[in-house]
Amino acid sequence: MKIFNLILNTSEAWALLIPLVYIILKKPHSKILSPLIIYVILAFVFNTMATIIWVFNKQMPEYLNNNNVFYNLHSIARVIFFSWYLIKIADPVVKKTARIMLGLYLLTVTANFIFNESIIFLSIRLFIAESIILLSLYIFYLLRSLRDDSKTNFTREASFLVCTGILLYEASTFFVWLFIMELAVTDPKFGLFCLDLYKIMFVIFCLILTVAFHRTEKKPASTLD
Amino acid sequence: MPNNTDNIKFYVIIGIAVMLLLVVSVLLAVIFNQRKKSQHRSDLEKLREQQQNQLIEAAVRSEETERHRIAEILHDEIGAILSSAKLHLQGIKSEQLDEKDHRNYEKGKELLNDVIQKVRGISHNLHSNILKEFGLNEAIRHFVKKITQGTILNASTSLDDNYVTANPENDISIYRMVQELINNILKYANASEFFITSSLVGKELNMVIFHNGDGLSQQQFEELRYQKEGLGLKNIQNRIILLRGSIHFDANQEGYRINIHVPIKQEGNE
Repeated sequence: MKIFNLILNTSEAWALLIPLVYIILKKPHSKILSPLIIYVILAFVFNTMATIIWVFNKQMPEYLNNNNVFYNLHSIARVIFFSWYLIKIADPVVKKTARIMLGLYLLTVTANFIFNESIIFLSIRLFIAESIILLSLYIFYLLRSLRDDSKTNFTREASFLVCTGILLYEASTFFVWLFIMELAVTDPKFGLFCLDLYKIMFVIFCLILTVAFHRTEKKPASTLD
Repeated sequence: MPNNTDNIKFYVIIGIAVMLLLVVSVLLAVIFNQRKKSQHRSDLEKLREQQQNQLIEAAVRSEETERHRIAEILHDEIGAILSSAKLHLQGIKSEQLDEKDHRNYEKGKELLNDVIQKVRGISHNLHSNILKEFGLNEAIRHFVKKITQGTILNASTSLDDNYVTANPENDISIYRMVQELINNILKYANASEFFITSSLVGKELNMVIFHNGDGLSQQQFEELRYQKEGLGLKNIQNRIILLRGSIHFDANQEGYRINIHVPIKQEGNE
């Protein structure tokens, strides 16, 4: 049980090793994947730093006692790079919507951390905003694909897998972040269970991302951007 | 407090369930939509192929009908008139003619015999009664014997007698293909020998036409059949499509080989 807890608690770091190892070994060439590859690398750095600080918390100096900044940065990176990926693959309407939403998000986040909150502390608003933006954009993209007759084998494409991964992850964690503060006070046990759920979903998300990388590489070069 | 705890727990569980349901619904809608589109595309493709096959079938059938009609006219009308003309000519007492008229009479008789033979040959080429009465193998043997008579061409056949006519329409198409291919060999290949072999393997008739002249490669066949001058090859291609078979041209050191594969279907079966 202890080992299982340790594996689960460090899953935010090792889960990203799955797509990272694939990237290192296979060196994907597709330009479409570049936002996701950058995300994986950055996310691995942030999560590893956060995990190291958590594991060696007692030995850390005071100014390195808090790993929340890395979670905030990870959330921002997720919004930026998954929106960027959508801008690369989607039709002009979704592209435009993604650009506008990303722009508004960055403005809002910047204003929030300048005037309202400190980036050092965990920002639940950030995670909620992340879920809202990514859920809206990717559901919009999928609904647009229903009307697009040019998409012949869309469900076999890597982009569908990326949509599936990000949507399942965000859908299962949105309400967790919405009520996590209340749960921490009223029902810590259930709160911890929800965080475990978030970690499991993150592992699944990383696995789906790896399969999406593999599927992009399997496609003939002439069909890649 | 416990009530508040239960409420928050309830909201979280219901919230996650609703969100996951929403996402899974959208994903399933996309999957079913794609399947429907794929099925529709496949149906359209099948319809297109069906339409093309129907057009080819109509073209081939009308060609055979026309050949039959022309063969009948040649045999029943032209042939009859020519035979009648020959009889009338034979009625002339040639011993009463002078030398010059006698020579003209003999020449006229010779030309008339010649044209009667040619009309008979054209009529048989257009519509072979041997094919109808004795089957494909006999028709091919008869055709090869007739076409090489009086030439130095060395030709032979080795046909599988296990093959019996399952569909007379298909036999006509196979016979026409063999006719066209052999005529092409004689016209263009400068071959000194050719062989036709056939074997029935399971439900497939495999035919090989081998010759030692200058033949076509598969690539040349595929190019020529789309050209204006390649009408004969186009006909072969249409007949192969109609038969749902395949034709392949290849070559080795000994000569050129044309491989024809035709699935054997019973009449009325698709």
